[in-house]
Amino acid sequence: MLFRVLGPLEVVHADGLRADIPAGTPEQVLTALLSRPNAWVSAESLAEAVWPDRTPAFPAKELWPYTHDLCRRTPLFGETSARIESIGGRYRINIGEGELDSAVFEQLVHDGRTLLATDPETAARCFRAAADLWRGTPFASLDTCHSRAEAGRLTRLRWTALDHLVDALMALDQTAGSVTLLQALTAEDPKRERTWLRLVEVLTRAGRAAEAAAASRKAVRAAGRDAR
Amino acid sequence: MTGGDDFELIGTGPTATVYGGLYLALKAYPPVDEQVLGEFAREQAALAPLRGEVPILPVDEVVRLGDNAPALQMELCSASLAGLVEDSGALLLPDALAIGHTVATAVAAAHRVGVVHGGLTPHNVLFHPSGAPMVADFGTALRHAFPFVANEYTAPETQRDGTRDERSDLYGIGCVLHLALTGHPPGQGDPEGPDELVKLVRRLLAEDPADRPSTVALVVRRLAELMEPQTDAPEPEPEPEADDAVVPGKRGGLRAWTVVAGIAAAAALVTAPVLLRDQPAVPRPAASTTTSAPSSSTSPVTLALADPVDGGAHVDLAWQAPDGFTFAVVVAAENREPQVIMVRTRSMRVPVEGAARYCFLVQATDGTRVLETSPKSIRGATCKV
Repeated sequence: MLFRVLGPLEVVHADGLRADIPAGTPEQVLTALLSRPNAWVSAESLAEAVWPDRTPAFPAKELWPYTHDLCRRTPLFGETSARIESIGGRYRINIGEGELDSAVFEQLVHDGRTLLATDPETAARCFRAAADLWRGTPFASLDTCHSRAEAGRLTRLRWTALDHLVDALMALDQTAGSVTLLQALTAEDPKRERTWLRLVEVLTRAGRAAEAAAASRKAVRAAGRDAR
Repeated sequence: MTGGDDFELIGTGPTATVYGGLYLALKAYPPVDEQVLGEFAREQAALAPLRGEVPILPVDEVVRLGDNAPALQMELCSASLAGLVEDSGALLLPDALAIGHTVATAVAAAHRVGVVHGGLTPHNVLFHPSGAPMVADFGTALRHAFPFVANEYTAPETQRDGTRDERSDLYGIGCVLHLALTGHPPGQGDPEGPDELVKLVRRLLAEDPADRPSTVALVVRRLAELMEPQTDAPEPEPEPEADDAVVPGKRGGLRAWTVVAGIAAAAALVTAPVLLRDQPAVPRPAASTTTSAPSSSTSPVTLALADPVDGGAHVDLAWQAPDGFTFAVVVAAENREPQVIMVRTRSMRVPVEGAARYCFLVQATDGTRVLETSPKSIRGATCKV
């Protein structure tokens, strides 16, 4: 994994050495490109993401020093090619398989969902691996409709993966694991009703009625706090 | 529910049914899960601080009908941008820009508080009785609760997989501009106008959501720049000039507002635009034949505004007009946004500020003809139409 966007931006070289990407504009340019892997992005669109409060007359000209410098700082693509291509005022960041955490994350969740009904053990491994890639809000250095929408989509996908992980663990009769996971999730987002309901359900099924009742009371309290 | 309003059916959509009273509208939904209404309430709570600040039509109350089905109570806005264009065709460029700017401003404010519209079309760009355009139906909670029905304004990603996010709202703004400029939904007709505007509309309507402009605030800025072609930097508010005559809509934000007020009055009157500004506006021929042309065979009618009577804190207006007309009273204060007040009476008392100079005029329609008085001033204001 060379590029990690599921949390603060991290770039590592093939030899494991951390790439130095300066905070501010260079980080934003790279993040904006990584939010659209393998797609051509216009200079105008890139400039809007980086300089939301002004409109450069010649965006490509102002972006050039940054993209040029980023090519130097990022690992090569396929060992010989530049990571960032630029043709006629458009830019593309080339990402190979397994190089970008958000792409791997989506693939793992997709695989897990496909396997959930037939092979819950492998599915659970997929969901666990996907959840482990998550380090925090993606694309937080940007403030665009695209960055927020993508961050929102990936965040929802993560919660879906975690819900499915509970499904897989339950299919494997791993009640204790499910309860531990669900308790951690209620702590992370106490307002999320679905996690509480699931926790109550899992505890009830496990015959832990007293704990289920307690969780149920906490759920109501959490919902009440939210309503205020 | 407020008052003893009698409600009658005024519209049916794929999901909701809208009933209109004298001042209120009720948008009735089929029964829905309480969790959905909880989510809806959270969206409304987020929008609440924006009330009165931005052109978003607020939901006043959620009332329960039979089967506990929810109905959203709002102020009645009887005209929509879609209806206006259907009746009168494409808008003039400044009017289209003003509408686009208003809609983008509303959407930008909602995005700031984390609320996505999710189904922005010219059908939920409404004209408030005060004359101001407003955007209704913000939020995705109710939209996600009911089966999705696509229309000609639905964003490609929404059609594909039901995605409704900030980028879909950008597409919606593109739809509003496209309809206002061409008289047609996206895909039919090409917007004409300044290159910058044509390019902006094309980007807003980009197939790939990621290719649309990066923020709504940026769209607001671009439209503001296009509304002010003579200056380089967009000025949010023109400097008041002491010797400036009371000419509503002479420059800057004022002009934009006046244009919009004109459209709104026309929308409420359900006839052609009547604009209060330097250049008299001639409506473009409507695409459909439903617009009734001014009839020359009817007897001549007169509309005359008597000299306003200045009562200090209020001004009494009275006008002569034949029976069967509805009136729009335009009140323009110096350095202030003009207001349009719809009335059926032939006189009214308008509250005014003690020191300010004002101009007034009355527009009238019986559904066929549109008449307008010449403006009358108080306190030595110079009026210009």
